[in-house]
Amino acid sequence: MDRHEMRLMILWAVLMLITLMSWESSSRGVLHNPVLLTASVLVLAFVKVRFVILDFMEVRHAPVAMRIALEAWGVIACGSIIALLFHASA
Amino acid sequence: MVSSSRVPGEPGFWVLIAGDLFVFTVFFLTYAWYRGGEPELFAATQATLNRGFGLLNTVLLLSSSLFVAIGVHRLRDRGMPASLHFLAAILCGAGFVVVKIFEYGAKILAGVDVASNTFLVLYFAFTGIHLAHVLLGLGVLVVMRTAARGPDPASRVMLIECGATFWHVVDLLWIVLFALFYLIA
Repeated sequence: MDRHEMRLMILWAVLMLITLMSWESSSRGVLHNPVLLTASVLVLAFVKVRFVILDFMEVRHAPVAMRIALEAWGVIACGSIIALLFHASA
Repeated sequence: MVSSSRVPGEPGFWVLIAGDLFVFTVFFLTYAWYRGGEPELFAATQATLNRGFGLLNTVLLLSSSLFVAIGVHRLRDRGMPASLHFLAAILCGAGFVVVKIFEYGAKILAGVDVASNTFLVLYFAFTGIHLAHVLLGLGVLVVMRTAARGPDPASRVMLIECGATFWHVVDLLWIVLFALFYLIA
């Protein structure tokens, strides 16, 4: 196993950890405010998505415009989903 | 390891990937819009889903992505065999399908009235379209494994990179679907 493979395995472990954190906070109601809980779960999901794009899909080494476009997609999609989820209660 | 700036796979293939991301973004926003309008119904129906199935499927897809990423690296950068890694990814993906069959089957056997519940309509529609992606992705993984086992697999790196990119997209779309349908409050 070389350094790159070790890095990929550490990334997988981090993604698993984030998944379990989201699952636990959702299951046990660590955050009592549903807006905070929903926003944190979605932000964590898009953090995972960002790592999948950058490291599994190798966009970290892609031309900068491509990386910016995909990172911007993640931020805009995450923000828009959160905004729409609470559009009726705003 | 990839060192200089380069597009993984065929650049034109990324246009298809962008299209798929756009379509699913519309799905995510549609779900968020309807959930925002009927939060109580969505929360109550969401509570009937088996969250363990969702978690298990997330673990399976993340693990399959890891196997694919390591396989591509070994084949392309180290000139090593990768077919076992791709086989492990196929098994994880097949596990996802089996779990989904159990999940859908439990709902259907329980006789739930899908058409009268917006949450369930969106759940079956969006996770069903995602499942179609998983099945297509499994076919792609089989092609990748065949290419990796054939003579001169290094000459098929472009094909293998495109397949890997598609499989990672299947993984990342599930990450968002899992959060939307199983985790949010």
